[in-house]
Amino acid sequence: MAEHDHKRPHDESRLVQEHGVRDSRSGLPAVPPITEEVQHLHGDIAAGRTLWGDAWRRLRRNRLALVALAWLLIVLVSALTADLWVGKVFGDPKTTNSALAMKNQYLEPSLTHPIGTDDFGRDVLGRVIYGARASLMVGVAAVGISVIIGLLLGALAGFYPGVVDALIMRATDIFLAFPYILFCILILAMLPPTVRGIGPVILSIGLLGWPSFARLFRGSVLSVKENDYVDAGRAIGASDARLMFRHILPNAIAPIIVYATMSVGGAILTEAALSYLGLGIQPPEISWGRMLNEGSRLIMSHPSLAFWPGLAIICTVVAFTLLGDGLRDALDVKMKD
Amino acid sequence: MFQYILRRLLQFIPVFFGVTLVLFLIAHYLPGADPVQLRVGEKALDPERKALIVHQLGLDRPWYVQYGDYLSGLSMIHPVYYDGSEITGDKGVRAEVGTIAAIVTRVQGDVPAGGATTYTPRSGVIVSRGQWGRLALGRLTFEFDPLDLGNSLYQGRPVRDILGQAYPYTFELALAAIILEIIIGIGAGIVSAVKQYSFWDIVVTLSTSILVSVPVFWLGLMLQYLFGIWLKKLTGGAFYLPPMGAGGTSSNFPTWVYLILPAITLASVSTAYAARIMRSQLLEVLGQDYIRTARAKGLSPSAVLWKHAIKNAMIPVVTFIGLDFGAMLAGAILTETVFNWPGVGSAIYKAIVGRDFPIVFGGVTAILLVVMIVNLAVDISYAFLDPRIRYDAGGE
Amino acid sequence: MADHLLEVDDLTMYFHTRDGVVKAVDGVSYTLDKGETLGVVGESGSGKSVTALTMMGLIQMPPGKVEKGDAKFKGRSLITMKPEELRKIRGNEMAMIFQDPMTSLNPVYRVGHQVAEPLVIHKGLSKSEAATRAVELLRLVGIPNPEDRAKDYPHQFSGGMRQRAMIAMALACDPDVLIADEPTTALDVTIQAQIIELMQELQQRTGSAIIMITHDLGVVADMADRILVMYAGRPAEYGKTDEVFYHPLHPYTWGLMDSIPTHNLVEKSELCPIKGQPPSLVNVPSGCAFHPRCPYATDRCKSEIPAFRIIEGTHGAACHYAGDPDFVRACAVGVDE
Repeated sequence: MAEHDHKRPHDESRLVQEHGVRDSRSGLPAVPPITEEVQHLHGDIAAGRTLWGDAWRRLRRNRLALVALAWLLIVLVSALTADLWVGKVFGDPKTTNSALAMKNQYLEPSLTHPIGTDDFGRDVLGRVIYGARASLMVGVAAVGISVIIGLLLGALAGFYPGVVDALIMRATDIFLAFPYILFCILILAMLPPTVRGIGPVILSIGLLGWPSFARLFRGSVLSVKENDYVDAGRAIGASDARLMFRHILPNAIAPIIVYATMSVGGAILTEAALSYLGLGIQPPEISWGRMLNEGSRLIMSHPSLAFWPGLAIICTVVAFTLLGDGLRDALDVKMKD
Repeated sequence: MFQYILRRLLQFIPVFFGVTLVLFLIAHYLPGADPVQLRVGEKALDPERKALIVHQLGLDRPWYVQYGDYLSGLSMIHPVYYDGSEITGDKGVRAEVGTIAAIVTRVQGDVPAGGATTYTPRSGVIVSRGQWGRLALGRLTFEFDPLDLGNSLYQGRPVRDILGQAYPYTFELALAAIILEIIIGIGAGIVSAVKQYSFWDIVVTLSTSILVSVPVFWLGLMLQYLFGIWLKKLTGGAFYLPPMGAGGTSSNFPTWVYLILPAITLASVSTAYAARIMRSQLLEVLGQDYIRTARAKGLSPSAVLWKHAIKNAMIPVVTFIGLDFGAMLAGAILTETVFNWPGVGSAIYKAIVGRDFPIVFGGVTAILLVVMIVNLAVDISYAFLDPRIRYDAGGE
Repeated sequence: MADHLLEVDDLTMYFHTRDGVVKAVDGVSYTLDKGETLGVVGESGSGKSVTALTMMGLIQMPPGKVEKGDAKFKGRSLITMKPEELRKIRGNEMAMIFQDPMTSLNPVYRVGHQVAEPLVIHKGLSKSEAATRAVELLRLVGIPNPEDRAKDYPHQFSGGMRQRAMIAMALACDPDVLIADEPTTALDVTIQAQIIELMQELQQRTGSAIIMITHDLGVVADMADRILVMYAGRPAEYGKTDEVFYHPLHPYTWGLMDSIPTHNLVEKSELCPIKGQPPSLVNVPSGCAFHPRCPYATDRCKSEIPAFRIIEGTHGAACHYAGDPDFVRACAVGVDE
């Protein structure tokens, strides 16, 4: 049985052993010269073969996750295209025309108005579809902000242990001590109503969510830093930033993706709460939380106004959670907190 | 064990200062918000008057000085500066006063010889300083007072009074919710873990997964409709009208009836989490080697479960529920708003709508403080619960 | 020897799982008498532990199922007995100690309490009586200062002390059979020897029978009166210790002997090391389970399952060619490399 030829340099053979690249002709381990590009190629190939390709295959087998994904795509597409067609099909969802209101108020569910109309005569289904825009936008954008801040600070903390790490960890402690909602409520309540709107909502939710991502990424950075091939990269002079992007990021990104997906659900719930309190999306803009605010006043007489947007929220949040679970299984991520 | 407790206490200090610093920054430097308007109310002020107010409120001093002042009462402003609807034209000597126990502020001007001093910033409002004593060291004077959170803009009362009146209701609500959470959450979690993959387990797992994604206040609204209108005849109209204010209006039912729906609502999401955690913890424990040992000793299945497994699984669950109590106090704002329950959350909400910022700020601060203290207490209690921490491995 | 203390007869237990049937125990037979020590030897996955667990009733019965065979303790069938009956024997007349003392003791109870527990359950002692006896037991197993140590928690004990405590716990009710499942594997070498010595001492004193399950031949060489070698859930060889060590019949046993680091019992230099991995118990190889790794496998080995045959006295093996002198000579010549 042919054994590994140990005449080659130590680093190389270890790389080969880890990534298993073989020369297609001879069947022996292929060892091209070690240049930086090849280093990255090895890393990318390894990442490509073991992570993303397999992951997609595994995800496809998870039926629940696929259902969730399908629902989310429907919501996403409706949200993106809402401007184009909702008005035509369901009438203007934002109108406050009182004449129209008198005529169409509180209509029973029918073919033209599948779930009825609200106190302004606006079609409820149309508003729910339209409301997906704001709710989704807040969810995704806020998590996006958290992820960016978290990645940055997590990377810093992981790469520069000592004072930098300690400071950032203290900061996560401080931010984690805040109950989420209170912080957002405080900020948004202090702002004059004219300034409130989707921007401040996104910012306040996003600015509070970074600690978990920072901790997660820091953990990944710390553990991946130990790996040999990072040392090998360093040995040939790759800079910190380059190491980070090409070697660490692909491996460390998996738990971030999973957690981010699941966090979008939480962000949507937070937006709903804030808008319900009147601090979030302002009328006449629509979001699901906003609809809950308006529906709550009429809960005793017309519960459907609050029921449907709530249901939309539940379905969407559940979908994000299921998708996140599915991604976690597919990417085979073991996340410790 | 003491090392652990000490470490926790030491960790608490920077967190406390960090949190108060963030609150301070929000109160003073929030982009888009006008610090003067926040303190005085929204009225048009000509630039002269505004500058005067800025000076009197001390907003023109360096930020670290302002931070120190802020720490002294954890309020946005000091009552001695603010007098409600009008700021006096008197630019004279200001005594910066007020402390919470053992935190220092500077005192300028004449320091009274001893005992508490009182100020009347506005008719009907008397503020007293140094109630718990005073200590002078050169230019520094320590005054010890109970916590002060400022005065309401439109209610003519100190924020502390308003919150003090509201807190018992919130506490009551949170307590009821926690009891529900403990009984139902832990119970469901245990049953679910013991009878894994059974019908009950599926029900619990599914319902908790969904509950966790439900907006708490939506659930409250739905419950309100369900029990107030749909089942109105069944429940004799008990839930038809939520109570207005403290004693309720003309209600035929004892006040605790009105606690049921809000408590269920507040407890719902937390109970789902608790059940899941209990389940996963118990499953993990049941797979441990020492459970196999217990079985090998001939213990009956129920003894294995209750004496060996649950005792281990409960430790993190208890910790979670303890932390949850703090979270409930915070999240109560949504539930109270739905049911018009006269607690701190309601007070804050009304203040948001009424743009009475000191109440908003004071209320949030108060809740934050309580949450931080509860978290600290829970953290420390962990040392007593887990023998591995209580008795440090010394004899190795 | 009319009535054996423990009599295992063709015991067969399979796990019925979603991924297939795991043939964990497949036709195991042996006997155990008072004061005797049986060494059960094999690699991980050979079924040596599972056999004991099945007898003790510690296997979850779905998915496990005893297909055929029996195990009789003092004439009573452990397999058909009611669970409550078996529970009275477990920890009482038959006791078991496990591999990892770190995780086998409950971290939230004091050691003394755990050692005393079987006494309270089985012998009806009061808590204080049991506690006193527990201290005595701890003293018996060589733990210094037992009165104080009994009040300690497991994490305050060292590894070796923990295993001693486990032994004390198992001996609490004076069991007739003590089953030790890899008791020394998780301990370091010097402690291993101490524990083995302790067990031998205790056996002399109490006269209980011991089943020593291990993958380490060195351990059983000293202690065991008889040896059962298991492979893939099936018995490979069984006999008195000297017989098995000096005149091994089964090629697998030959391989095991050669991997003993310290002993040099066998003079035959033609024995060669075993390559490969133990087979999956879901897909047991056809015919003789060992044939893929056996250097002497013939076609007959691949197709026909060898029955266990007694060759001499009580010494037997499950190999078509066991005891065939021509075969042994042929192996000796052909394999030398």
